[in-house]
Amino acid sequence: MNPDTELLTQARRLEPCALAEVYDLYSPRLYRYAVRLLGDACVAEDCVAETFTRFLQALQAGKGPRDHLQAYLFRVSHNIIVDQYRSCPMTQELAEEEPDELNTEDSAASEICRKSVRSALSELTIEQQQVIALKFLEGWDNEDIARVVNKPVGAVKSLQHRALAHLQKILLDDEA
Amino acid sequence: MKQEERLDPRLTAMLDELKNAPPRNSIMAARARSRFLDQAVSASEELRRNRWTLFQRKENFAMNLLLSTMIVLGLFFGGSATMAAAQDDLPNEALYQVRLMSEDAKVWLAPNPEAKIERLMEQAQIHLEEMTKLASQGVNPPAELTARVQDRIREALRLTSELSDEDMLKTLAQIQSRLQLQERLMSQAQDGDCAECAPILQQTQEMLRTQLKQVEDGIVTPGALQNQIRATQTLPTGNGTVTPQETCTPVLSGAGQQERIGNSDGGEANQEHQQTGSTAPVEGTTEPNNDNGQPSGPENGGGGLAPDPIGQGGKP
Repeated sequence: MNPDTELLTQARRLEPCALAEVYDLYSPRLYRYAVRLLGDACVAEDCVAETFTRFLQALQAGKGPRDHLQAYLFRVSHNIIVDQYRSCPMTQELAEEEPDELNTEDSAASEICRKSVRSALSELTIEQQQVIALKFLEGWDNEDIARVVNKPVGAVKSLQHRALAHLQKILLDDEA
Repeated sequence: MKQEERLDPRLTAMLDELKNAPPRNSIMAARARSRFLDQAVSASEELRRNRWTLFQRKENFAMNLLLSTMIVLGLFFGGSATMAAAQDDLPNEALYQVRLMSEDAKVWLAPNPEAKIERLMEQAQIHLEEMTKLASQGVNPPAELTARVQDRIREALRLTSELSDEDMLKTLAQIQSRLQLQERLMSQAQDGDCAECAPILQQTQEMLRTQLKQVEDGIVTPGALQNQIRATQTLPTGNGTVTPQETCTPVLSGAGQQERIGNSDGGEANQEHQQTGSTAPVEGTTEPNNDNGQPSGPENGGGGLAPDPIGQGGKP
C-alpha cells in the first residue's frame, strides 16, 4: 500500500496521530504555495489553517479524499486563495509587514515585480492559475497537476499554454 | 517541454521572483499546528462519542428487545409449563382446573368440526381413565367427572348432527366404537377394590350405555338423531363451537365436593345443578317440563337426549 494512502486511511478514521502527520507533511508546502500567491504571511497561515479545517470537516462528514491527498489539499488551498483574491485583490503586501527589508532598491524592485506577477496571475482563470503556480512555482509535473485540476494531462498542457500566453501579454506587453 | 522552451526568459525571471517566499514564522506555524491538533483531537473524540451514542442506542434497543422477548417467552413458556404440568393432574390435584381450561381451549382451537369431535371424544376417554385411576387409588371419583364426560360426548354428538349425512354416519361409527371401549373400561373399573367407588362408576357406565344407544339409533336413522338433538339443544354452544368461556362443566372444588358427591344420592346432585343454574347436562334443568313438572326425557315423549343417570340418582 502506498504510504500516503495508508496515512490517508488512518486520517479518515480521524486518528489524531495520522492527522498530525498529514499536517506536518503538507502544511509547509501549502504555506509556501499560499504565501507565494498571496504575498502575505498571515493570510497564508490563515489559508493553510482553513485548508486543514475544511479537510477535517470533510473527513468528519465521511467525505474527503480517498487517494491523492496532496492534490486534494492543494485544490482546496487554491480555492481559498482565489477567494482571497476576490475579497482583497492584492491589497496586502509582504512589504507592509516587513518594511525594513524593503529599504534597499533591489528589494523594492523585487517586490514590485512580485506584485505585478501576482496581479497578472489573478487575472487568469482558476485552473490556469493552478497550472502556472504548480508548474513554475512548485515544480510539479503535469500528471500531478492533472490530479489537482481534475483534467487529463493534455488539457493541463493546453491550460499551461494559454496561461503563459496570457501572462506574457499582461506582463511583457505592458512592460514594452 | 515545448511551452517551457518557448517561455520568454523575462517571464521566467518574473515567475522565479515569486519563488523567493520568506521563511515561515515558526511561532505562527506552531500556533497553527496546535490549533489544528486541537481540532483533530476534538473531531476524534466527537467521532468516538457518536459511535458510543450509536452503540448505546443500539444497546438500548437490543435490551428492550431482549426484555420484551424474555417477558413474552416467559409468559409463553411459563404458561406452557403450567399447562404441561397440569396435563397429568387428577381431579384431586392442584392444577386440574388449568387442565380443564386447556381442554376447552384445545377444542376451541380445533380447525374444523371433525377435529373438534375427535378432541372431545379423546377428552371423554381421558376423563374416564382418570376415574378408573382414582378408583384404583381408592379415591371416589367426583360426579363432575361423569358430567364432564357426558358433556364431551353430547357436544361431540351435537357437532356430528351438523355434518353432512355421509360424514355424520362415518363419525357416528367412530363415536360408537369409542363408546363401546369406554363402556368396557367402566365395566372393568368396577371390578376393583374401591367399594365406595362402585356407584359412580356404575352411573358412568350407564350414561355411556345410554349415549351408545343413542348413537346406534342415529346410525340407523340419522334424521331422527338430528331432530332429537336440535329439539333438545341444551348446551349454550349454539353456534356450533366450544369456547373456553362456554364450558358446560361445573367447577370442581376439591375433595370436600368429592365427598359430598360421593355420599349424595342422584336426586341431590340434580337439585344442586338446578340451584346453581349450572348448564351441566342434567335433564331436569333444561328439558321443557311437562304438565306435572317432571323432566320430559325421550321415554316421556319429550324428544330429549338420553336421561342423565346422575340426575336419576344413579338408577339405570
